[in-house]
Amino acid sequence: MADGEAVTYAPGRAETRMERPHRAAPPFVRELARYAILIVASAIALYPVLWLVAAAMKTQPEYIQNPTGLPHSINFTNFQTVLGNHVLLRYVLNSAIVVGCAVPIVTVTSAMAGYSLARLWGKAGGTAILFLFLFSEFVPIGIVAIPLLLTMQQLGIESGKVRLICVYSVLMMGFAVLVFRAFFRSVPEELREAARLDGCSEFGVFWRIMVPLARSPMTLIAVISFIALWNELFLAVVLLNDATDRTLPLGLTELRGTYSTDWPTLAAALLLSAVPTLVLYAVFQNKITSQLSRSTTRD
Amino acid sequence: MASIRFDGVTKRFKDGTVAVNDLSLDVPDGEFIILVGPSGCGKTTALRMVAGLEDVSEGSIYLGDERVNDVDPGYRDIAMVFQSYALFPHMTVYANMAFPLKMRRVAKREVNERVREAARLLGLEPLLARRPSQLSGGQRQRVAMGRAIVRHPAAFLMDEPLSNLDAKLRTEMRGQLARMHLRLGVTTLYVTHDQTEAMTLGSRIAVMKDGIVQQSGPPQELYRAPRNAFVARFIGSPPMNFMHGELVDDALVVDGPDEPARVRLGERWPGRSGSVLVGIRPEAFCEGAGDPAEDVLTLHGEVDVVEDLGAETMVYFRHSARIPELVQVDGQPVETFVARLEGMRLHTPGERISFHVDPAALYLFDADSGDALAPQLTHERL
Repeated sequence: MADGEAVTYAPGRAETRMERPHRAAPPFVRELARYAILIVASAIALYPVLWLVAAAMKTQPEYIQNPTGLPHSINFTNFQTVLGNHVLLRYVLNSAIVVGCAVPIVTVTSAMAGYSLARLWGKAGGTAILFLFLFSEFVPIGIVAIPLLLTMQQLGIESGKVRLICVYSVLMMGFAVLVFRAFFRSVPEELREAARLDGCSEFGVFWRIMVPLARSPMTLIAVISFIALWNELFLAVVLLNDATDRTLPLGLTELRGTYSTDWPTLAAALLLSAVPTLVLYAVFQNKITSQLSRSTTRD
Repeated sequence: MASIRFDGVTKRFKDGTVAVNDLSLDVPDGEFIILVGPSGCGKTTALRMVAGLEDVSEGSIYLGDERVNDVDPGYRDIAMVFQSYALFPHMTVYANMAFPLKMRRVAKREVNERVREAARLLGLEPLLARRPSQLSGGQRQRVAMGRAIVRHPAAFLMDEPLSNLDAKLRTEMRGQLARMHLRLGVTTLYVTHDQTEAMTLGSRIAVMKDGIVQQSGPPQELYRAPRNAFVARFIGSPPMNFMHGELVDDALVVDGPDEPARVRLGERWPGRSGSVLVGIRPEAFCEGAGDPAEDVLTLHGEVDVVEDLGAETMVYFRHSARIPELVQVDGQPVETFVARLEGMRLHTPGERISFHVDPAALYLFDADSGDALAPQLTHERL
């Protein structure tokens, strides 16, 4: 190479990178680092749960003496107390009714909305409505709580359970519609056309073809909505008048007294209240994670 | 069973694109007709309008005597086989085939009988309990056919049903389709861009381009007497070769390497002069320079590529004749001619080669419009 050329030659960034070969850490080191991070993250997530389990096993004096340590003995008296508390069981029933009604409603209506947005709407209108759904996800619930209460009162809806069912049914809809829209967009249009030719009505296509195909996203939405609504406290506080309508999260706050709190019993009640969501998650874990990764990578 | 009739049908999309332009076509009861053309020519749109999956902008579509423009797809009594098969993934093969019958509330026993009969016809019996994801491409294709035939529809619509299969399976399924049509005799409208399928399957072919039917007729008629250069080039494989020529008195002159090649045409194209497009089928080439005493068109060229197919050999060669811009494949101008010669020929690229063509085998087209200049070989029509 001539000197003149060498002077004008300026190595680019890519070339400097090329000159220095990337030295990867040995596989076992990488694996070790990966596990270390996961273990730390799990510990952070699990500590409060373990603390709760330990607390639930203690008696009140034992807890006051030693709030963070392990219990002296394993005893389930606190759990028995909670399960024997009829008022708490009533709250469980209230929660079950409210969530049990809201979850199917949100799952089915979001699936229908998602399907329409994916298929039947003209592009411009569909996008506008989709943005409305998206927008609803960004509105803090605190802003709409009071207007919601006033609306309920004006509509003459007195029953606390009905109020909650109404609100809970749309609370999760923004996210759910997005998931369903992404899913239905991935279903080939020919399936709809084939079903129409085979004699299905537009609703028949949805009901007989799309719903069975959408089992995974429906499970995802049902489980996620269940977990979110089962633990929902804020709207319950705002919308419920009657003590008999209280849901479980609201009921649990009652166990905190003004002057003293029976922490071990509260811990036991909290643990028991988490059982349904834990069971649901454990059963559908695979479906949820796979569907979640699919709906975020598609569309 | 029923006939299908397009009566001045036009399809205009919202963006103004005219996919099908004033299509009039009559498919008599029991006929197997092929709509063929390059992609975007409107053939699939025409099919989808018959199915009711696209609205008709103008004109009427009749199934039998009934005008079906506004009839819901489910009430048109037609079955369609999609290119992607469109099998319902959550149903077994049996349920897929039974679905259209179930929708029509056919009694369970009859559903069972009809599904099993179709399965027997298509060799699907061992697969009835499987799901589409557990089937091969060919099997899925047969299930799609099965779903169409269980209904005993008035007409079949097929949208490139074989295009997702490999070459060997496609040949096999082509045979099965032909046998099925022979046996069931149901009116069939079949869309493809594959001219081999068109030539072998259909009792009639309609060649489409830019939403307009260029010519329709029996395969041999389209092959022997194409109405214009587009049809001539589209039907036949490998396609027809084209070059520019001049009609002078009763002779045809084309560019040659040294001096223009000249051939007397006799009385087949009387009284015309001026520039023309000359079409030569690959099989019309005979190797070697023609006898100067005889009236043959001799072309000299240089071998480009040789494809030895065993029973025949394709020789692609460059010739100095001007090849019209009109002749393009996927937007690329064609630069070589192809000759189809019987048996094995030993030629090497770069070699000089001569061919002669009987003037009776020449096709002449108007240089501007591409229309055929004379009704060639009309006496040989089938």
